[in-house]
Amino acid sequence: MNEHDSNLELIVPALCLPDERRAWAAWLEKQLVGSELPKLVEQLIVLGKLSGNRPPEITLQDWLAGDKANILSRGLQKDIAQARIEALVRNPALLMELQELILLEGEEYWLRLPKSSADQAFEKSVMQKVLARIDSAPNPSGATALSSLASGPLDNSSSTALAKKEVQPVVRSSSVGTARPNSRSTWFALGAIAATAAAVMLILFNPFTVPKKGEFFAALELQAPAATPQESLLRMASQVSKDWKSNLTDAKALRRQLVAFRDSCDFLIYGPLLKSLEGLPDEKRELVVSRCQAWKKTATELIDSLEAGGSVGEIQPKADEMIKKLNAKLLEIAQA
Amino acid sequence: MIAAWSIDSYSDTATNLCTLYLGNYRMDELEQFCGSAPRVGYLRLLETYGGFLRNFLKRKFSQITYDENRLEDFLQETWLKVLNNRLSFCASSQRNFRAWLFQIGVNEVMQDIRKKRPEIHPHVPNQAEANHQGPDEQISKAEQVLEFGRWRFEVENHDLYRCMRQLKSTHEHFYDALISTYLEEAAEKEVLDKYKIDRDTLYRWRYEAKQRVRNCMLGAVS
Repeated sequence: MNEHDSNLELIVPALCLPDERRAWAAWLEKQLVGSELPKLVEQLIVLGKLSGNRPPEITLQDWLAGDKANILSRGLQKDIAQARIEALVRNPALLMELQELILLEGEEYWLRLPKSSADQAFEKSVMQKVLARIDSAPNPSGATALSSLASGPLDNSSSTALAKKEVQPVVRSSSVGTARPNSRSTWFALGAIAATAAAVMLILFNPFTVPKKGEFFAALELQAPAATPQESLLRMASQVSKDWKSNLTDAKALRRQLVAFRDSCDFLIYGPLLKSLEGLPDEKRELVVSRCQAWKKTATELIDSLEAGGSVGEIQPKADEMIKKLNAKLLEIAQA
Repeated sequence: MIAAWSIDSYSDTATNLCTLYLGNYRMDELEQFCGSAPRVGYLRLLETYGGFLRNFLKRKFSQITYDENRLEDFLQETWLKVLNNRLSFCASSQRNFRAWLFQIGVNEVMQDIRKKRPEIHPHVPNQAEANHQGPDEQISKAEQVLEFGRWRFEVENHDLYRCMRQLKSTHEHFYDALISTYLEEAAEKEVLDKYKIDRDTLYRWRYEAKQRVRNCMLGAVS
């Protein structure tokens, strides 16, 4: 999509309806998970009025015609007659109802449809702000309101604190007839035990820290500070090559490897590794992040293929190719 | 003419909030969120459901969430509450992340309404009532007073309407080419026959028409 098209899509989405009617289903799917649907519907109503279009009124139930499950799991492009797709454009109110259904019940297919760049930017901004609030919250031991709100439940230490809160009534009732609940020493002892338990849990299970046996981008070795962002990129490339096994014959092992790789991408997209690239120009950092998002997506697709019954012999070479490209890209960015 | 409808088809979908599908991939994320990798699970849930939550709130409370800054505040608070309540969610035997997430989002907006406009909305259900009623009933109650989610506009006053009329008066052939997009396929053939043009020309005329309407809309917006 060129600049003109994207501009047009923001201002007059209804005019971006493709000329080729066969392309309508895919285009409508994108609109149904996008944030500009109300604007589109409003404009389609206007265009319908101008064209003198008087479609027969139909309800969503009529339109679904027994295909609800199929549409929720496979979208609009499979087995839905073109006439029904066109009926959506001529009855725009149906699009709003269909969107509600998809928001509430849309399956995997809908959740993974690509988003517009404007929506992506908005969601990225929300995510970064949420993460900034979480990461800027003091340690739970600081006991501020924000830490208990945001960082608390993510780590098991404050989960303990929350759990403690939840079991408080039990402590009270069990203490009846044995010890006085308001006894200073009892509370003091309970507090000390809880604090010790919380500290131990924090050390052992804090998920904000890097896992002890991290792999790929989550590897512990990558957490050591690098002298330059270029060095950091070279170390990432080398670490991924080191951890990647290209001779796996077992589907379970390959799946585990792909899942570990995919999840480790978050360390580069959102996590501490991104900080190690701070000396790089913005566009290069953006490039690294966007590439990492693409690798993550590819890994997810390969996992899906594997789960759908794909053979290791078929998927492993694709995964190897992805890692090879990843390495080449990281080296290219580091050396550019 | 006033084209209007209210987004009030909640009754059909209210029960669906309790029976949402969770595929393997999502279960995987939830397992991480509730298990040994909550941060990664949380990020993946945020990435997956961020857009859905945004659209859901936009749709349910269009008059409030029309302001993107406000909407962003609601979304931030909702996601932080998701963290805050992770333990209770993960402890429940029937996990339904999407329904839970949407409920938190709805509660967040409703609390804001209660804070800012108590005189208009004297009763907001407490947590127990909210759990019992479900988000749609809460919204319906708010709607009765504030008409949230109700969407009215006058077609003739719409910028697009005026720009299309303008196009028709200056370049009728472009207008005909463009408007045929939104009619049955036979209408396209009529335009081809009327102006004796081929399909490529039709598409070119449409492109020209879109340029003109876009420029007109930009003028209208500015």
